[in-house]
Amino acid sequence: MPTLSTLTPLAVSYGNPLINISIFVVFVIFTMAVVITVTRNADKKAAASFYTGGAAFSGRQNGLAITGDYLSAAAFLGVTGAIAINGFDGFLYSVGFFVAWIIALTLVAEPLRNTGRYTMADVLSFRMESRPVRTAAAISTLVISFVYLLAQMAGAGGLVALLLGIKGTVGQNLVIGVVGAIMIAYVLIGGMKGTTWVQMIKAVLLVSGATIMAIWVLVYANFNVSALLRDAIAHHTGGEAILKPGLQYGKDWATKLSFVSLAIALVTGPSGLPHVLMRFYTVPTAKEARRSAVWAINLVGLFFLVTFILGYGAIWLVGQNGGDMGNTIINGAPGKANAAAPLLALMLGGEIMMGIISGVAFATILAVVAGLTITASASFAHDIYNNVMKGGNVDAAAEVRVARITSVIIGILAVIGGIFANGQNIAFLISLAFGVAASANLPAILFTLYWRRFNTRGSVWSIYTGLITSVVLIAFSPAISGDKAAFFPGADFAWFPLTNPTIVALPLAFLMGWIGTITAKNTADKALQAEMEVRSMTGLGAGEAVVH
Amino acid sequence: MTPHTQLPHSGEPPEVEANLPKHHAPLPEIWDKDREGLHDPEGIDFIAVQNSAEYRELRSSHVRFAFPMVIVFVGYYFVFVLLSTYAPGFVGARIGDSYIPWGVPLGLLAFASTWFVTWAYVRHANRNLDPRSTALRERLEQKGGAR
Repeated sequence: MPTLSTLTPLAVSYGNPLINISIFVVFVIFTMAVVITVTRNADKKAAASFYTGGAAFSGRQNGLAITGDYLSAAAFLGVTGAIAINGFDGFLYSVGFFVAWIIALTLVAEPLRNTGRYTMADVLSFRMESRPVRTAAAISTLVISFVYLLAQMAGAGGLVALLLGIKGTVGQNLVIGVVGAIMIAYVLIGGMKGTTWVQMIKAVLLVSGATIMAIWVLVYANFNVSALLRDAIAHHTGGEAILKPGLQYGKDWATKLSFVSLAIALVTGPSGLPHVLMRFYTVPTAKEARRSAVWAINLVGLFFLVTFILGYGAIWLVGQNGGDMGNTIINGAPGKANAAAPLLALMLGGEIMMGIISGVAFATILAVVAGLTITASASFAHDIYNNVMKGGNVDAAAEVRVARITSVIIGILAVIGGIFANGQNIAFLISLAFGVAASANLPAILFTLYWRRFNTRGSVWSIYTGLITSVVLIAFSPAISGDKAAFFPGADFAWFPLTNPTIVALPLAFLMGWIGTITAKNTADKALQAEMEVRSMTGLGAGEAVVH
Repeated sequence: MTPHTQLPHSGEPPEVEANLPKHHAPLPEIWDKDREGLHDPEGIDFIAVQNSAEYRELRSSHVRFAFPMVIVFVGYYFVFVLLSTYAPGFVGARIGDSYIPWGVPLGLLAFASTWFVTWAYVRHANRNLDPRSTALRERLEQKGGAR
């Protein structure tokens, strides 16, 4: 478990805990109120639920929800922190997170929408033998959601600890536990429908909040980016190195290759993230799916563009006002790198601004965690419990019961994981989830949609190879042990030299998908393949397209 | 709306949430081929459709646009990443007298290219894909006796 650095005497206090906590509580109450209202209204209206009545969401609304899902705490706290600590290497996260949308938009969004299913498992098992493929896809959904959750919990712990000024490890772990309990309650009360509305509101708040902060920084810098960078250099222990790539990843061949691997994960991961893919099913037509992707792309692009200013601005302003090097102060704060954005807000607009920005960040975490928990528990309840274990004979009430129990279990597991992950940069943790998502899901999705011969064995081999390889390589990587920044800095059982598995796991998953396909005795079901392909291109039989 | 694979006009949508606890957001209604066995509800010979010239035109129009776009622009991103990793001196060099390194415009180019792909794809889809897919779908719906 990472211990907090107590070496640096802290020159800044982290705002007024009373103001912080009041604004924070207002945010929690506000989001809860939104959730409860939306859920109640929806119940009154009709059984046309969020999922089956996807037509209820326009492309723009859905685009906002996708933005909300995609811009998790990792994006806001993590990327800003990564730039504040590691300079240009952090900026490469921004670029990768955004470029990823090229693949999602052109290759994945509309065909997935048109095959008209709800979970990723449904798409992958459309033309295959249902049970083995569904099991594999559900397991990978669960694993990815869990790793993703871990990152959010770590972010929540650090954030609340910062707001309350808790510096001790035990106190922070307690905070993560309490946060986890709030989140479980939130999931059980609000469910997916409430979450979606919070996602939309939060997406607007987050993108506008980040943009306002960036403009604010630019005003201080007289809109002179060069001067901003000059001042950032003066307030970072790395000096000019923050403008060059390599501060974090430039050490040796292994760290460099880790970086390339990370880049692959960032750009391919989003097209394999179950909770993002799911959002393409909630609009009535492929055209709306396209529209929502475009909305998401515009907002996400704007957001990652301004993280550049926020990151370097945090170094400069936190350093200048804190009387020490900016990165030293940020690293010494509860939450470490993840504290960069809230601290920048404190420097810009004082305690109230910090409270507001932290509130937005916390709403972000709440909404993403709730969405992930529900995606994962629905996948378990429907795909594994009902379809695989009970042969599809369970009624909806029992399925819901299982889903609720699962969400509580997932919440508890996430708290435990979050305690171990506390202090890790959440952008880094998310990159691990991206690596698993890219390796386990993307090859199977692309093959299913674009390779006619792809069959059951290919699917199963591809998913398990990507999943197991990436998880095992992470477990034995310097990210987990054998490094002072690792999860278990005391232990050393690392034999894989890279901190990101994607450069190995993704090609291997493609390869095994191919080998599995060509060696299988049961070839692809031609009729089903034709049906899926025609549907994916035309939207035939999917949603409103056929309802006049 | 009905689950996607039910016949489009088979009456009222089912009350999928009727047996859920009050105030609980519904779980997804997922159609399952094993349970319903309705894979070809409209009686369409999809293999024949797949081999038709009309469909093949649509498919190749999509594939021939999407894959090159991905290769070129995701390719550029990797050029940027590899330069940053293995030529940090170049990427980190300042532009003229300013403090801005060359990596910034190179990175912004990746942002710009993503927006360009988005614009180009939407244009392509509106002009070339949508008319074809709509025409094909409408023809299939009539042929399949959906109405």
